[in-house]
Amino acid sequence: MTLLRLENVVKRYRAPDGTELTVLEVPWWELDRGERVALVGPSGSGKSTLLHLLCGIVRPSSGSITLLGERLETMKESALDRLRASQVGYVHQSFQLLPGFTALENVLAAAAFGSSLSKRRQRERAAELLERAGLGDRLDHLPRQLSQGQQQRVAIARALVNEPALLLADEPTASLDPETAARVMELLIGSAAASGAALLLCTHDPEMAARMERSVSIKELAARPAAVRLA
Amino acid sequence: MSLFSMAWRGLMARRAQTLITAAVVMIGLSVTLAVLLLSSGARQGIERASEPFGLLIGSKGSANQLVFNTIFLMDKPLANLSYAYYERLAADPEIRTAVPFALGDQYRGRRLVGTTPAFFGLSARPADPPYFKLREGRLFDQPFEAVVGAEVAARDGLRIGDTFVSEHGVAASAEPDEHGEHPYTVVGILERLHAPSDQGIYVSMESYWQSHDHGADEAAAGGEAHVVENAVGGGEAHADESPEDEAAHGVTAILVKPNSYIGLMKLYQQTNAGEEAQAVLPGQTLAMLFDMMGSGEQALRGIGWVLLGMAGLTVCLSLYSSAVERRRSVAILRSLGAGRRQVMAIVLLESALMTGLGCALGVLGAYGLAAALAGYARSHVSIALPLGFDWSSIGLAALVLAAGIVSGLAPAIGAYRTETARHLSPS
Repeated sequence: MTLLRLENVVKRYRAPDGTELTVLEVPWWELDRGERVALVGPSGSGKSTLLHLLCGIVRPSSGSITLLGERLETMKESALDRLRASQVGYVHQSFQLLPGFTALENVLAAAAFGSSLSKRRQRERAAELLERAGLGDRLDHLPRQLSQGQQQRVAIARALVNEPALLLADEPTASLDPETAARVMELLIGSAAASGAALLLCTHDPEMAARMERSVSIKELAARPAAVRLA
Repeated sequence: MSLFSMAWRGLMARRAQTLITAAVVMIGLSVTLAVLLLSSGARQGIERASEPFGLLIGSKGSANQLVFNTIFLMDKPLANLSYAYYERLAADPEIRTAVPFALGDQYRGRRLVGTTPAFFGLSARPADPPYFKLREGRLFDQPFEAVVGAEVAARDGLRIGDTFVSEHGVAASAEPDEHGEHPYTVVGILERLHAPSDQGIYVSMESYWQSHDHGADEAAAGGEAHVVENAVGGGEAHADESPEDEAAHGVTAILVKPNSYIGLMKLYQQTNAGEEAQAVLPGQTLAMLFDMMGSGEQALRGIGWVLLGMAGLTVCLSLYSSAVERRRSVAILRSLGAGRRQVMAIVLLESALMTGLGCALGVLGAYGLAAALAGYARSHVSIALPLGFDWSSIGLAALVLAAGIVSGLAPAIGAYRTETARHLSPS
């Protein structure tokens, strides 16, 4: 069942000299519900731009992106914000935790924008996710009081708190040592599977990509004609 | 988690900067408000203390000195007016009350005032109850009985039945020249009025004269006492008295309450047109004093506004200096699904909270500072500076808060416009 569809999506930026640069071009691509896909490619190839387009923080220059039946490019920004809050979880390479917020509050901040649960239930769910991530005794710790691996686990709990349909992970293990990276990946894949969320993992690490159900490179995405659906 | 909590957390992430900014707002507001509170309090306190005294008549000289002598019990007394002058005024049918007021000796720096029991019946308006009230005991009715002000009783530990010996001069001296032969007995203690009169010791004119018979003898020898010639026939009543006797038996001032306003103005003009005495309306003199004090007050108020201006700039600086860090936080919040208006509201709440914290502390600080200064004024000159809750202080704090929120508008708009994707890149 299709969760996400991209049709003739192009993203261009205006360079300082006034010329337009095409940074991403995807003629056609689909992602099913609950799928786990690795998006591979070297740095600067447009992986992050694609994730930004998928979560609606960047609009395509042309083309169409359909998420859960909603065409993102035609949505009002406020509706897009609501959709992102409730249906998209985002795990960044550099964790991107809010500095003055405790681990629990970082998760609750996401719940505040995208959850329909009561405040009490939000708190219970946030604590439950953090416990599952092995941070039950770190709920009140600030990001600076946590190790990098712990910070990324908080980010994963935060991305999952609203039970999103789509989980985007942008090089989530790039800043971690191999052992911690392996544990974080385990948590990420396990959590996505448990919640039934589709996982799109950006990585340039073939080992990480191998843990996904399928893998696609940015170059391939751009080369595929609109009529061909990637399998 | 509410936007309010998010704003508070954002501020706590920059705790030192937040506290310094709030402290600057607090200091600016405290100083400005304390000046405002004290200046209006001082006027009220002094005006209230002067109300019962009516028209002051004393010998020619400084009007300010006469006011200081009678209302504040301060300064060297003006030369005495003859008692005959007082008697003539007291006998005038146009005058409702005339009370003699004679400053003489002191006890531990507290001024002794020779007067009559009518002094304790003075009130601001005829319909008002007497300004002075006895807390304990009774009024004097014998020589060398004294009624003491509340501050004298409290500070010098005088109780009913206690005796004390007065000294010459206007201030306590290391080697007092005591009237050892005329000890006073405390027969009454006045209720506290939070006015300079709390520092007075009130005795009968007879006591004053008797102790000064001794003083006049000294004056005759030393030539210290001053006498005002009674040009309007003061010689009639005390024709047999020597100038030294007149000095000893005179009064520093006469507190006059004519029957009508017209009578008051007539007496005021006639007295000042004559050569013997001056009439002073305390309100007028105090207004002039307040005008003089006003320039100092203006300067303090100006300093307060400058401090407030600096506080405003500090809030702006603080908000701008945190803009880079905030852009990242805003981008994170946006990626979590926060709308542009929500992040704008968070930034505005941050500036409101930071300024609000400073304002709340500033109002408390202002009342604390004003109370400390009022306490000092009360203990040193017994002037009560009423420091009741003043809504204008909240008005000023609200103004500062509004300015703080306005200064947060630019960063809030910046947050509204933040390009989320740009600030989510790994740092």
